[in-house]
Amino acid sequence: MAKTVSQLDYLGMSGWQKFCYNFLQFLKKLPVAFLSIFTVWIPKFARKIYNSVKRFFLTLWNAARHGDWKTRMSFLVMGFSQFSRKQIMRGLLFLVFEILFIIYMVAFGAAQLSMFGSLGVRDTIQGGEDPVTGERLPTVVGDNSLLILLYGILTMIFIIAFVYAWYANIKAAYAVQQYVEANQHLTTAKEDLNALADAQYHKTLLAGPLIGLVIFTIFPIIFMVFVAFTNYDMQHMPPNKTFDWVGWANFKSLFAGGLSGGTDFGRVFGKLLLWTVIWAIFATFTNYILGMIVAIMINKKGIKLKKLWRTVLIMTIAVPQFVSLLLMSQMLADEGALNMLFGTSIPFLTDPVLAKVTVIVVNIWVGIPFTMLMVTGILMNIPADLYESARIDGAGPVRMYFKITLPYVLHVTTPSLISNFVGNINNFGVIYLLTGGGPSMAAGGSGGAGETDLLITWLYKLIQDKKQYGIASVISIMMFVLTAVISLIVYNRSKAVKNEEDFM
Amino acid sequence: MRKRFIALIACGALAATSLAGFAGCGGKTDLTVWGPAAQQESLKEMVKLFKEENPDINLSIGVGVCGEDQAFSQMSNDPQSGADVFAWANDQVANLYAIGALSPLTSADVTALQSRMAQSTIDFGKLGSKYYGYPYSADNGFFLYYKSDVVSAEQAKTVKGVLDACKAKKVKFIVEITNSWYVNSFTFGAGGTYDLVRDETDGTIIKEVQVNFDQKAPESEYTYGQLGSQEVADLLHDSTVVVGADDVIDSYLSSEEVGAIVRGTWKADDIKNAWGDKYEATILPDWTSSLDGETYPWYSFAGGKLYGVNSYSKHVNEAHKLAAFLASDKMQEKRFDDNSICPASTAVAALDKVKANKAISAFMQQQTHSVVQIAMPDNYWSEGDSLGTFLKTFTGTATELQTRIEQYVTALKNAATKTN
Repeated sequence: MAKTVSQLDYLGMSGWQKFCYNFLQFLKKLPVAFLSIFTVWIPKFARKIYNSVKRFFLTLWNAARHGDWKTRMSFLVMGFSQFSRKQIMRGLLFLVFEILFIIYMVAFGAAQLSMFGSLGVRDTIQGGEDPVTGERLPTVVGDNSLLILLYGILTMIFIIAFVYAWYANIKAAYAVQQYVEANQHLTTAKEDLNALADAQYHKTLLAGPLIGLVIFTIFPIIFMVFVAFTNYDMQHMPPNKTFDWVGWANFKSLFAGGLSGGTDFGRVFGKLLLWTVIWAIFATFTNYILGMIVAIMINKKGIKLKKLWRTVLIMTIAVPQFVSLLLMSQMLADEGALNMLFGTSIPFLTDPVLAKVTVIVVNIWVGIPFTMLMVTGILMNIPADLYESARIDGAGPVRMYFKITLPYVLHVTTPSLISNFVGNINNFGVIYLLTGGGPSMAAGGSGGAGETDLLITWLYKLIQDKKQYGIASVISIMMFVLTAVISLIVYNRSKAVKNEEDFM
Repeated sequence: MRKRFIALIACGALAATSLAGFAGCGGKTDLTVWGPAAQQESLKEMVKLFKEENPDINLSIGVGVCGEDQAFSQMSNDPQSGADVFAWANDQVANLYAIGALSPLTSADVTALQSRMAQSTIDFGKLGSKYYGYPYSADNGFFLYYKSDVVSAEQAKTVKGVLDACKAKKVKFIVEITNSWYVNSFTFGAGGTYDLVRDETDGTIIKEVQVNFDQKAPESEYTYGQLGSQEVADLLHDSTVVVGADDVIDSYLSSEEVGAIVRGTWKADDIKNAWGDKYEATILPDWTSSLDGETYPWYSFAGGKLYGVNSYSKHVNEAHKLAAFLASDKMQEKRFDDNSICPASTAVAALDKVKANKAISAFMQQQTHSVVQIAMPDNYWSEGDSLGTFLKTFTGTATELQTRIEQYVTALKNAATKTN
């Protein structure tokens, strides 16, 4: 085990020793970094929540105690304080929101919310025939659990928004009263609108992206988390049959092991998680390192036809990736062009181990040009005088690479490396188009998962072919946690974030 | 003033025409029908014939493309907006039922079918105690195609004969034996059985999976699974055997390096075109186990395709009428003429022109050596593929094989619905 060595000892180490030392130090720090989630982040977060809750009630209490009758009326009729003090537009906005909310709840929301606990009870009754007359009976469509869940969550979000608006209304009501009491100027509607284009311009600009983010990212994630606690699967397909809350059952079948519905989810998940991580590491770093080597080779002084080499490599980008991948999958098939050409029968895509290697190698072929392009740009930007002074000091090419080129390139590309890594964890296209996840796992109870399936392609199979929405949601939550933790830790520790000013 | 008057008149006219439009829709029956891509032309003509036969209904029928094997994945997106009438392969009955996409037949409909086809054919559409489709084709199974200058009719009777013949001419024998559709065909031949006990009222509930692959065959020291799977492994280790799907068959046909193929009727035309007058089709050959030396038959699956009615259809009665029409004898004959689709009706199958079709008559022969392909749960297919992968590299002893078979059977039995 490496101990913390003194600065002098460290400087005395050879390059390899330094690397090993740093690596071990990194490994040693890893548990601490994980623990810091519990020792630092969570208490911090809890304190924050406690403070905001305290502030919430304090504001209400102050408004109720020190407010005049107009402010107190605002507890019931939103915007009353503003209204009665001639801040018509603000008051009207609050009032309209309150009325809309009440109408929504009475006409629709309350009913949806009341069914949220059961997610609907009536199954669809299939038509069949009248036993006496033999006539066909119409189908009676039952409750659609999916829609109940969807509208239930929407209603809850709406309620939270309402509570927040109500709170903001009271806070503003009291503030307006204080303004009037202090004889200060109240903003008019026109001034408010003008402010949105001036002092409050950030709100105007961010409103669009924020709404988009909530609708297209946050809402689906919330929905998915809820689905993870239901038995939404082939046996419970709404509107034909309602699905129900099942608590932690899906998590149990994923982590407790053993067969559930014919599939050993725990074993398959473990196996695919391992392969997903291996794949992500190889796919990211092989592309990165080889791409950099190619870029450096092309960029080197004295290489002829630089433009030609670059163009040749970029040709692979010009062809749409899915076309190249589909062609590759045809060529590498057991009876594909390559085997036919050489009269061999190498199972490129059907042998469990070889298929994994093939997938990584083909990905290198597809991915190198991108890294090459990126690194070429950076290499051209490294000040030549750095190399010159290094050469005068007697540094060789290897030393110059590790001391100048690599730190420079790493510094700039770490964020893109992280996004590549996370992107590769979820690299659906390459796997799906090349092997379709195959070959099937040889062990029983694999539930259709293949040897080269990533978690994401397995997820696709679970949803598309098997309609196992419940357990698929659990898996996607796990993937979300995995990618989020990796991104956060590595990103926060990367030099690009820590020493933003360097190299600038 | 004048302008406003004109605007008023324009609005009025617009309102009147739109109202008239609504009124026109009132008596119309809108139906959509989905059929496989290869039969689109033929299907459009059938729809036209149906309209001619029913002049009393104001029909408007749209025709869409959806392969029989794709019915579930298409319908499951949103059954309430799916086609009113659609073609589906019988192995999807349980899945389609689970999403509520199938309207059951009345007993009168079933009685009408019973006069035209075998009960086993009508059962393609059965789940629980009800029937959900009108069978129009009974062509889902596999049998042997062989080239008469490579394999003689006598050699085509045994697997060894076929292999020897192909070896002698240095050509291949193509069978996709690792695929879950084929992988148990020897096990079934040896006497293995697989059956499901479904709930009578709710067809999605599987009460029990009855499978005997791990049990000893009578008068043999080996289990059905050992006998069948060992044969699969033996074939996989034979250099004459090529495992491949349609694209592989195509490439071998074009390079003329194949002497025998195990495949279904859908490949008949391609093989016939490649082999010309050397084209022959017959029942699957018998095989001799390398374990106990006994000879067993090689079994196929038997399945079919049906037209069904979406239970969410707004015009269920008319839709059933159309579905029944599309599966009628006349239309089955038309389908045979247009696309060489093997009929389900006994009367159509007995026609001379149908009998003259080698592939279809081989398929008919194969019926005696077939297992009806019931609505298998999804894991039958995924487990079968896993077994296929396992057998590809398997070189162990019969005991080791039995361990894997037992694992396989446990996984299959686990498809039974949990009752809490």
